[in-house]
Amino acid sequence: MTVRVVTDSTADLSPQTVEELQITVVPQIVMFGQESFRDGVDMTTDEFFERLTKSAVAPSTSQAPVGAFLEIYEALADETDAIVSIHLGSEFSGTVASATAARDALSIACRVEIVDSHAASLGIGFAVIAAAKAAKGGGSLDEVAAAARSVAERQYTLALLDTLEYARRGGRISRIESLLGNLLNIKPIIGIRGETQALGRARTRAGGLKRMFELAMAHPDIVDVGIMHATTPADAEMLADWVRERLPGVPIEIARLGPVLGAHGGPGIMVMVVVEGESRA
Amino acid sequence: MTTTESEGHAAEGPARRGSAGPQVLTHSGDDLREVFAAATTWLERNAEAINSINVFPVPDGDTGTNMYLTMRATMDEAYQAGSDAADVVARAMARGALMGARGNSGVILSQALRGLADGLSGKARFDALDFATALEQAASSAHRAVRNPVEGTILTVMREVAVAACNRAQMLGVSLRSVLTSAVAAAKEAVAKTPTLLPVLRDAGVVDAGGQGLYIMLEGALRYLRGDAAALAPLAIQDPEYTWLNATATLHGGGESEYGYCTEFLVTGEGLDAEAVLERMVTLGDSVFVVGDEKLLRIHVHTSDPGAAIGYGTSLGELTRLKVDNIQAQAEEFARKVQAGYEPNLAPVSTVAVASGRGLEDVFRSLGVTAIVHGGRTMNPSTQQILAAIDSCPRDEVVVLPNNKNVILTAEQAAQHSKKDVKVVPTESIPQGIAALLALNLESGLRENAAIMGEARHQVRTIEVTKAIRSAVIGGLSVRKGQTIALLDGRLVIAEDIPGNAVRSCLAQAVTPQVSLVTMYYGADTSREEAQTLAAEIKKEYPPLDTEVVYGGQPHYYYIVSLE
Repeated sequence: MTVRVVTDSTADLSPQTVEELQITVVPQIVMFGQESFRDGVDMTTDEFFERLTKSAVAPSTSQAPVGAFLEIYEALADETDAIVSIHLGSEFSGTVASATAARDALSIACRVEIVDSHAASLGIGFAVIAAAKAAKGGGSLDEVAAAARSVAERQYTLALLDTLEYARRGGRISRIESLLGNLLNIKPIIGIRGETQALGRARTRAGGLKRMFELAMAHPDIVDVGIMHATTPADAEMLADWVRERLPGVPIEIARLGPVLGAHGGPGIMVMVVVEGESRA
Repeated sequence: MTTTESEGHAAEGPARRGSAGPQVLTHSGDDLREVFAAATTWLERNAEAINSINVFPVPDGDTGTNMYLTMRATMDEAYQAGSDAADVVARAMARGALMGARGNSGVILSQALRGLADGLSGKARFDALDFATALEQAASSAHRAVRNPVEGTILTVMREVAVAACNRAQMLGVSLRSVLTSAVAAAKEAVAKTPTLLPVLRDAGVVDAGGQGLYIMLEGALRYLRGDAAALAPLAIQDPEYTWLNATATLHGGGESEYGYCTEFLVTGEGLDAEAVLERMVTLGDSVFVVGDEKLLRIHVHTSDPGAAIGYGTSLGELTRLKVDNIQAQAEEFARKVQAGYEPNLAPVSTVAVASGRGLEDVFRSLGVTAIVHGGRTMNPSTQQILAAIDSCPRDEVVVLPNNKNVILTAEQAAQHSKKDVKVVPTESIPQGIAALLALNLESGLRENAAIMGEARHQVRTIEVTKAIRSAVIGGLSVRKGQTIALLDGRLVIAEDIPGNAVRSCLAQAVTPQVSLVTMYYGADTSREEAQTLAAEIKKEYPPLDTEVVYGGQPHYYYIVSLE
C-alpha cells in the first residue's frame, strides 16, 4: 500500500501540488477576536490579508485541534496502513504536539510517523514534496519519513519583514529586537530554522530584498528555491528573476504566504527558502 | 645647541667622509630633539594660518591643527627617550608621531618621521649628510604610506626638500644649518608650485596646506639653528578656540574621569577673572580648563554637579553654548547594550565607529557598534585614540568605520599597529558608516564582512549642509563667507542662504527613482521643529519618498542627510 503524506496549511503548498502528489492538508486556525476560521477552507489568503490590514483586532493563530488530525488519520487509514505527517516546527507552534496526540488516540491499525520539520512555509513544503514523491515511487514508511527529514535538514528559510509591528503583537521577537535599536526604522532579515534568528538588517525594502537574496545565495549547492510573498507578487517575480539569472536551471517555486506566517510577519513580508543538495546533509 | 668636533673616528659617531676633509660637525639626540621642538613651536604659531588654507570652505579637520597635534605627541615621546643617542631619540619621535597622528597630513608626517628614524638608525650622532640622507628616506617612506600618491601635495614638497638637502650635503664640510637653508628654500619653491600640479588647488586659489605645514616646520628648525630665540618664545594664549581644541583633546584623550558630567559653556561678561574661575572650578571636579579674557571665558569641567558649575557661570555673566554630557550614562548605556546581547553574543566581529554628536553616537550604539571614537570632521582623532578603541573591543576581529575622508589613513595606521585582526572599511561620511554597520553579517567573519560593508557604503549618497568658513569660488560656484553650503558626496554643489533650502536644492540634484528613503540627522544648531518642517516639505515635493528625522547633534553641520 502507498504511504500517504499529511501536512498542515502552513506548508504553503499550491492546490495543484497538493492535488498532483496526493497530499492531505490539515487547516490551521486563524482567529480575529471571537471569530475563528480554518485556514484556506473558511477563509482565503486574500480575504485574510485584506482583513489583517483593516482589522482593529490583531489576528491570532492556533494549531489545528487534535480532532482535526484524528479525523484525517482515520479517513486515510481506510486506504493505507502508513502515514507520514510533516508539520510546522515545534519551536513556533504546538502543531506537532496535536498530531502526536491524535496518533496516540488512533484506534485503527495504521502507523503514523510524525516529522517535526523545525521549519515554516515552503521550508516544510519542500520536505512534504520530497516525501510525497518518495511515497509515489513506492517508498516505505521509513524511506518516506527519511526523505522528509533529509530535506528539512537541508532547507534554510529567510524572511524580510517590512515592519516589526506584527511580530511585536505576536511577542516573538526578543532575539531579533536587540539587532534593531530604536532610533532608525530598520527592516530585519530573519532566519527561520529551529529558532528564529537575526541575519541582517536593511533600511529600505529594495536594499532588504537584495540583502536577503545575497544571504540566500551564499548557501552552497542550492537544488531548490522557494519564494513567498503575502501581498507583493511583483517583488516575488523580481526575486525569481534574480534567482534564474544567478542559478540557471534550479527549479523555483513561487507561493503565496498563508495567514499563520502572515499574521506574525505582516503584509509586506517576503520569504525565501533554499534547499542545499544531499551532499550537504 | 651643542656641537662637537669630530675626531675622525669618534666611537659614538658615524664614519666620517673624506679622510683628509675639513672638520665635520656632528649632532646628538638632544640636538635633534631641540631642532624638532623648534619646528613644532613654529608650527604651533602658524597653525591657524595653515588651517585657513582649506580647499573647501567647510569646517573641516584642520591641517595645521592636525600637524601640530601630531608633532606635539612626537615631542612628548622624544623627551621620554631616556638617551642622548640620535637614533634612540629619532625612534622615540617616530613612535610618538605614529600614535599621535591625526588626519591625513598627520599620518603622512608620522610616516616621514619613521623614515627619518630608519635613516638615522645606528647613529648615536649625525652630521649634515646623515640628516639629508635621512630626509630622503623620510620622503620615500611618506610616499609609500599613501595608496594613490598625488603630485602637488606635502609628498611633492618633501621630495624636493630631500633632493635639495642631499645636493647641498654632498659638498664637503657643509653644516646642518646650510643644509636646512637649502631645504627651506626648496620647500618654499615647491609649495608655491603646488597649485600648478593640482587643479583643485589652482581652482581654489590656494597652496597645499600640508606642504605649507612642512615648510613652516623646516623654517622653524632653521630659525632655531640661526639662534632666532625670540621667534621661538612659547606661544601666549591668544586664540581661545585654538588653545581650547588642544586642551580638551588632551583631556578627553586620557583615562576615565571619576566625575559624571562633561560640562562646557561660554560666559560673556565684564572683568572676568580666569584665575578665580579656574580655582572655583577645581573645587567642583577635574579636567578643568578655562580660557579667554575678561570679556569672554570658555569653561570646561568634568563634575558630578553640573548645576553648581552652571550656577556659578550664571553669576558671572551670560551663558552660551552650554553643553552637558553624561559621561557615566554613556558608559552605562553601552554596558547595558552589551549585556542585552548584541555584542558579543551575536556579532562575530567587533566594530569601531568615529562620530561626533550625541545623537549620531546614540544611533551607532543602538545599531550595536562596539566602540565609538569621538571625532569627525572638525576634530580628527589620533591613531592612539582609534587604537585604544580597537583594543577595548571584546573580539579579536575588528572593523573600523572612519566615517570621514580625513580619518581613513589614521584608522589604517591604527589597524596596522594593533595586535588584533583589523579591517578599515573606508567610509567617508556618517551615512556611509551607518549603511556599512547595518550590513554587518552576523554569520560571517572579518574579511567577508569587510567586503560586504565596503560594498554597502556605496549604496547611500550623502548630503552635508554647513556654513562656509570663507568666501571662495569652487567649481564655478561662488560662495560667500557665512553662507550655507551643501556637499553631495563630498562635492560642493549648492550655496544658499537657508539650510533647509540647501537640502532641498541638493535633493533636486540627487533624487533618482532608485532613492526611496531620506534620513535627516539634524545637528546641534538645528531645532527638531525646523527639521520636521523640512521633512514635511520634502515629503510633499517627493511623495514616493519616505523621510525620517533623527537627532544627530553634530557640531557645525546643520544637516547630514542620507539617501538610499
